[in-house]
Amino acid sequence: MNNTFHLTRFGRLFIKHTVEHYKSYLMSLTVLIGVMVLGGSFMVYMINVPIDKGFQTAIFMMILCLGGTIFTSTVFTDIGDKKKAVSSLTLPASHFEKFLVGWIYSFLIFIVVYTATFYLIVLFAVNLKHFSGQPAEIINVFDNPICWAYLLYAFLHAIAFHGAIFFEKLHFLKTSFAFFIYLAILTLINKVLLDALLGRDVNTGLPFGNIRFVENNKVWDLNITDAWDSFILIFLAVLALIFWVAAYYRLKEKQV
Amino acid sequence: MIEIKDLSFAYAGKPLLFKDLNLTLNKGHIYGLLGKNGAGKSTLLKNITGLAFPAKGSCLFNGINVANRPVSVLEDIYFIAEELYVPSLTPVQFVANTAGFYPKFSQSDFYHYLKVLDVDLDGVMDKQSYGQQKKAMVAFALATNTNLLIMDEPTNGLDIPSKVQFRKLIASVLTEERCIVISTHQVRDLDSLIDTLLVLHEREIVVNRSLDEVVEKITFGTYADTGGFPVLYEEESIRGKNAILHNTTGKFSKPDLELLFNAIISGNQSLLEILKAS
Repeated sequence: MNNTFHLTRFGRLFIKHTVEHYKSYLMSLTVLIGVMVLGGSFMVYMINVPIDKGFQTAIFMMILCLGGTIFTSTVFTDIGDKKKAVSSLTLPASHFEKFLVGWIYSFLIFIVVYTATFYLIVLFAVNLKHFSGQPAEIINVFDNPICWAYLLYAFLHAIAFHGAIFFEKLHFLKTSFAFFIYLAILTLINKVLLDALLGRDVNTGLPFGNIRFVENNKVWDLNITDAWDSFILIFLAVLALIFWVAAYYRLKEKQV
Repeated sequence: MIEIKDLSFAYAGKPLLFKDLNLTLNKGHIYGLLGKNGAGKSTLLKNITGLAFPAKGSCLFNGINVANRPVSVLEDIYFIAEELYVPSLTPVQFVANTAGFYPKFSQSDFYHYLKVLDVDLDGVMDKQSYGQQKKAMVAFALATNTNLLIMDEPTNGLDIPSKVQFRKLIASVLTEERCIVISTHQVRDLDSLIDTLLVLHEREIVVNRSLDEVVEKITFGTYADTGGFPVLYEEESIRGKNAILHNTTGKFSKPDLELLFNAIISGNQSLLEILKAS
């Protein structure tokens, strides 16, 4: 008996989860499609602007991160509800299998379904109306900015996933609140530490970003130039991994 | 089968609910767990099923720590909580997706129990009455054929005919390999069902005795006058005095669980001393 992972048992759990949740998932997908169709039509007809690649990328990232984290926050509602938690936690499947089902739905399946839906709707929107001098173009998901969006989503997903297990209700609201509070504290500490380190008043953006200061009436920007992109990619990936692992252990320690 | 060793438990920010509690539950028995509201019956059951973790001590199922919730243990335990959750599925759909997790699940038993308990096979469970939901889950729990079956207030919401059927079913599914624990505050529902009495009172198990041992030590009866009898506890009733006496004659009487429970929670030390948990 493998107490961590067994393919047949995992398949059974995946099917059970699907049968018990497919209605709410299909409703969520309908809402997502509705928002995108309405938004796309509004842009084309009301604001009368072409949906170029830059705009598509921005919208793609925004809805992916917002919609994905909202959906992820709901994926473990069963263990937040005391009544449901008893049957969920005592179901003979391992914590890892339960974790994996939630992860696959909220990360892999969400990305695939969202990307496919986004493409279909953009295809529909760019063909709604043709703007002179503006070719109908569609973003490529394998291009760099979109790959970045997936990595950013992985990071935000990991936080939302952890929050979905950690909190018992109002998962999205509480996770977002905690995220922004921690971000504010981190930014403040970062500023104080950099001021102390450089012995001057430093203007900083987000932690681990560039810094700017004035010296001899000149403005200086400091960046980790060449390696910065890779650094951020690795940093986001590592943070995502840490939060996923933390979420797994949180699930193992869940009590009713 | 279940071995609780020096278990202490407290909810976050609350005083200890159990302190150094020790308890052993053996297979082949139906245990009745009694206790006042708030005594910690449900919490004790959650510790036994790995849903709550002790602050100190451990709870072992066949030597395995239940707090880790290993699949091998979960496959052999079924817990019906007081507050039930049923998915928006018919019993038939539910069993199609869930029975596979329990290696000893019997489909024929399940349909038999549903029939005995008069549960609609095609009704969506969460649209049914609370009693129907409970009966469907009791049928499922029994059909899993797990060696440990734990039920928290299982008769809540059941009508009288269903309670009768419930008692018959529980009595019929007990095997030498199986251990059944029923927690309730409706003491009369356990009459003629349990064979071992557990009483949880003031953070500890004060009684852990088979009913045979109980009636060996004490006797129950209704008397017009108890003067001259070795009375341990008595209550006035319309027919006279319902009393618990020290059994000095060696004759067995039918245990009155409600009277016994009242006597215990009233803090009757002489009675507790006689029944002291083994």
